[in-house]
Amino acid sequence: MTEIERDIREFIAENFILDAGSLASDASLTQSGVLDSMGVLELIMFIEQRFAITVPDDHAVPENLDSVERIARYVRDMLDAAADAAAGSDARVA
Amino acid sequence: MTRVSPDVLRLVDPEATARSIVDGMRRSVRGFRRRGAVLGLSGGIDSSVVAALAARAFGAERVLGVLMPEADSSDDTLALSRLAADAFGIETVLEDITEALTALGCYRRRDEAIARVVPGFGPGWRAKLVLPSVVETEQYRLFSLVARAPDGTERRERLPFDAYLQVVAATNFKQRTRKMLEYHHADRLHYAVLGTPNRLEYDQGFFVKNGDGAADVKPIAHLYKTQVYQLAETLGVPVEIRSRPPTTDTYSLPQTQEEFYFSLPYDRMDLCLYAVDHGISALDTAAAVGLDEAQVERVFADIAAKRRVAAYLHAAPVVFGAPQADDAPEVSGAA
Repeated sequence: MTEIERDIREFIAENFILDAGSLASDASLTQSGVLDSMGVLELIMFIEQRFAITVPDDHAVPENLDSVERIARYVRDMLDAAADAAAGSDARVA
Repeated sequence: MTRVSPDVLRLVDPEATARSIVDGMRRSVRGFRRRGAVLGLSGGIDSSVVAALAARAFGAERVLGVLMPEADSSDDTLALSRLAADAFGIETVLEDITEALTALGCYRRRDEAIARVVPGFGPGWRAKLVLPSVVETEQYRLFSLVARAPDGTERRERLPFDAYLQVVAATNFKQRTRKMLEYHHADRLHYAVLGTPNRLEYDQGFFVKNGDGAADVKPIAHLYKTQVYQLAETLGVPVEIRSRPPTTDTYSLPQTQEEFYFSLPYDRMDLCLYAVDHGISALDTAAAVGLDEAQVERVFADIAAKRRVAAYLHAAPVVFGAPQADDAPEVSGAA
């Protein structure tokens, strides 16, 4: 389990008052009743604050947020994209 | 194969439906040992229909309509409320709740939260909450705030979780203050309180817990909104009320119920709810609501999601174990 996935899992377990072991990485958070419309807002706030990324409205889709696995992948992709953008910017400055 | 069409919601005999509800209202209120009914009149279709039914059930002289406008109410709310009361000969009492809401900090708390998202928001500005369409995209429905400055310019910003909660919590003072006044008058007159949700609102949780969700009897909570309109015509609800588009009448900018809560206009939403309740597929619903199968699937999913949220709104307080008479605290001086 990566550090990103562990952080996400901890947040979901604590915030939604779940037993930590009961959450499969690929389980749908909406289908299992963990995530409702309020929960999505909380999750986005957590992602933005914890990983210092911005989640645009059109990224708030099940493909990115409906399981621990998907959230972790989305966060990794966003962090990689930010790192690439920064590297490109540094290269131009150099 | 069953297909959905608007005909499925048509009341076969609206007069018989009205008689059945009136009979149920009389039995319920008699069972509560109350002598009549109080309801809040909003100028909308639901409260006007309940007013008409109450006048039939108890006699107009045993029904009190409470008019409770506040600073953000639409200009026509009061006139339409009085129109309904006059149509059925119901006495009304005017309780402007603006001062009570101000004292509770309703407007201040709401505006503080909005100003965190839209700096400068204050007197002279107007705002509403809006949701994106569930039909057009798979995107989760995240609330945005639309704020209009005194010069007419508009801004739209997604609401962070804490600001959203504060805006809603502050705004819910409106429904809870109104219900407090309805029960005040009910206690004063030894009447019961009538709630006015239709089936769509009741099922989908379009109400405030312990606010407009509180009542002793909810006479039209089993009727689709389409049927409420049909009943309104039968009962003689004035055409000005029947032709008014449904509104939340809660935020300072005009806001439709679709912008704030439902996926579709009420007539199509009714059909989708009917389909879900009768196990009819999205494919067999699509033509009647003018959508494709995938879009109807998203509406169905939204209905299911709202039902999960509504479960909390409907829930009575949880009690662990059956309370025993011996556990009840002694009340000093009780007869």
